[in-house]
Amino acid sequence: MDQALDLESACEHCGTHFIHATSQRFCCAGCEFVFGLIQSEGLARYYQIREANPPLCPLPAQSSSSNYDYCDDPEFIKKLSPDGLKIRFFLEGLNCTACLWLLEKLPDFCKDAASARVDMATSTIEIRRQPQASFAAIARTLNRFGYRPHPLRESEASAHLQLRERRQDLIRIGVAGALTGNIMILAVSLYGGATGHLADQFRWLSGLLALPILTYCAWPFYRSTLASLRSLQLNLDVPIVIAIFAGIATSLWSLAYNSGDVYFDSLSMLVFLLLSSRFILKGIQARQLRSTNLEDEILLGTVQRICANGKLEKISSLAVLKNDVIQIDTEGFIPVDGIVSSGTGLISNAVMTGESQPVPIAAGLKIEAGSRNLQGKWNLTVTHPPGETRLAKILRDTERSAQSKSQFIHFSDHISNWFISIVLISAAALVLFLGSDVQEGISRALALVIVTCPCVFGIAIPLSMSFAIRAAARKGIIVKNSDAIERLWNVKTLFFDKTGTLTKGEMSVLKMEATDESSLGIALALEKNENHPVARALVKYLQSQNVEALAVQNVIPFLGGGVCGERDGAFYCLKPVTSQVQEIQPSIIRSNYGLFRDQTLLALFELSDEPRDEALHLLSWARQENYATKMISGDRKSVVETCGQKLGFSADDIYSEITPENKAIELRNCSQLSAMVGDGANDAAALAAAHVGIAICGSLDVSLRAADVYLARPNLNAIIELFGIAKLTRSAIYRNLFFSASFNAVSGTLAACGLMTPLWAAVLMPVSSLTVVMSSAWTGKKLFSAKEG
Amino acid sequence: MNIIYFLMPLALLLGFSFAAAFVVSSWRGQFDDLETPAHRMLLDDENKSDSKKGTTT
Repeated sequence: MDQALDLESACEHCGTHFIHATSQRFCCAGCEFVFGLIQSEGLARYYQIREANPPLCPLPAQSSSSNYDYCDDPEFIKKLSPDGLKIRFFLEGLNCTACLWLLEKLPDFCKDAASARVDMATSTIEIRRQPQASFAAIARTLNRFGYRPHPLRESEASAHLQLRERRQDLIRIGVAGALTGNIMILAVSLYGGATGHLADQFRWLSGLLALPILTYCAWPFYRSTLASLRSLQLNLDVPIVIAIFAGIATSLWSLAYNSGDVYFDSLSMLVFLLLSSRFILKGIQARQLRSTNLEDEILLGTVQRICANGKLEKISSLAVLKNDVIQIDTEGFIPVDGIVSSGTGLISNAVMTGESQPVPIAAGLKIEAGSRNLQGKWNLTVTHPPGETRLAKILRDTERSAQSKSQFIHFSDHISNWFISIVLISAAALVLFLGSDVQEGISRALALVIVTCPCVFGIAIPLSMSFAIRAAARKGIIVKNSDAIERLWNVKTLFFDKTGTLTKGEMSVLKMEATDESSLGIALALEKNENHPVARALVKYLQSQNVEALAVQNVIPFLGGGVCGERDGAFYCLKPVTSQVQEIQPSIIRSNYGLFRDQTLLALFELSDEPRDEALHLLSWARQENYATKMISGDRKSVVETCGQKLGFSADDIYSEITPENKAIELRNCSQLSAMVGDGANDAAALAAAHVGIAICGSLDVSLRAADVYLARPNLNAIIELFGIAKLTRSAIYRNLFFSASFNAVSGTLAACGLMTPLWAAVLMPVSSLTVVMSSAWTGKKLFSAKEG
Repeated sequence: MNIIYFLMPLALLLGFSFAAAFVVSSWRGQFDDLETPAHRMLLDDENKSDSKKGTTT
């Protein structure tokens, strides 16, 4: 604050602190508008409620200029709402009690709404409209108050199924809890030493009470064990079910012969606590992994649809239907597949084809979702709405492969299998060892089987991995599988490609010297069909100079950015030349290319490429974290060195004039495990050879064939975030492994020595598995709440 | 001790009735949303007082 007039105060609407010259009450016009709106609707209590229930919720004030007319489209309503009266919206900016109050007052000030019900756990509102009223008007009202609504296209069937399952689970827990409580009352008297007639009756009664628990409530365990046996893969439920069956058999035997212990109390407790901990696990998964898929994370936005009457309307990209015509006039990703119907413009297909040269728009051109509009105004007839595009398919495949098991998970599955087998064998051995005392042997074996649990392998590690992949996707980092996250842990050296990775990759011609006009025509003909930044820059420049391409035969590109060809029997070659021009601006990295006829220089082109703004930040971070940083490029030595010096690479760490093939060899020869950051198409070999390949440009599907990670937004800072996510995930997994190993060692020994009853085992095991799940979830929460990059 | 033959079924009946109440309320969706009601109860019920503003006590 250098001016005396400046005042700082909190905005009366959103609470943001802002600095202003004259006394103002609001930080922006948006807040002022919403404040006025709330006052005029007689809703001023909103502010009282907000003050009374901190923390203050940062209310979004800027209502977007979206048009919601599509909400009244009968087709659209039919898709979202079976009875045509009810729609669920996902609301941005719904955070606090005051929001809840305001939104549920909706029917009071919006005559179209009949009722509104908020669900804060999912940030959704379910709105029932008045018959014949307009959903669009309701959506507009929500939007005016600063809550941006997104109609939810959740399929009614799956939502219903989920709800059913949740209720089933709850009922199982409730029934198990109630019956276990009663069984425990009976068990207390048995433990207390009840004998005689009453004790027998208590045993029978506890068996009777346990019957629904061991059949109805424990059914999910039986089902999963059956599935596991069918696929010959031991899962976590197998030892549990074996323990339950062994316990039932022993108890029934005791009942029948009227001697020995019954274990109905322990078994019921086990089932009840396990059901509860699984329920909590499901809740955690649903809360953080809900609804969004990778496609939505990247492409969700608004598009302009042309209505039947020729008018334009802004709609959510989710609402686009097949055969809709949408107009594209802003820069950004296109969320649908379609065919251009009219208009002119330029698009970049980099994400889909890896071709970064813009393509001009022409009627009939097929456009794929994931293409980026650069300029122009054109109309597109939709052939595949979001969710059905090729991009969506690729992303779904990626998601599926992300769920497939990584080496580490395979390894831990392996351990988990061994673990279960060893526990079962030692339990059997225990019974044999204590052969004379069958009762004691069975009791110890039961305690051992129940208390030891490989849940860290079966539940906690996969959970941590899926959190990591989702958190990365939210930041525009597509990780192919959890394997990649593991491999990031061991990386010691970071290799960077130069052109397009550390630099912007957009070459431009600074200067041109030519002996005659025809040599320029030959240069254009040579480079016309090349896909190399230099070639593109040259072609663009020459075409802007109105140079006509001349006929050249036998055009052959060679690695390292050169092209040669023949014309009238003479051999022409366009290739890099050593610098003759003095470096005037050191911030610009220059390359010189010359056109040669045999050995004579005909034309000289001077090109430049600047480093990305965030490159230095990334590199200083990497060096601070003790990663070795190396730059590897196919470009000429002088160019690479200038760039390398500017970015702080030491001379040993700069590899220049390396062909793509040799890059891969260089990476394999690196003594330390390395990550390669480079172009998904041109550096594919190197990306595949690296321990972890990170593709920064190039097309998504091609890149993911070679690389493990794809950065959908070409920003190098994403790499820092990626490493951060991997590191947090590793610490969560190690923490859980350590806890689980100590727990199992201690409790297993106690059980085997007869110091732990099956009842204690039944209490401790679910508690330990809940502990590792909570620990994973805690880290997951940290990952998701990390600042958006 | 014979009283136990009366008290036991009574206790079980009590337990079962609570369990049954839980099952019924689960089926009716009472536990579908466990977050919002916690906030909703902080708000005074104004649906009645809306017509006669300012009469909240």
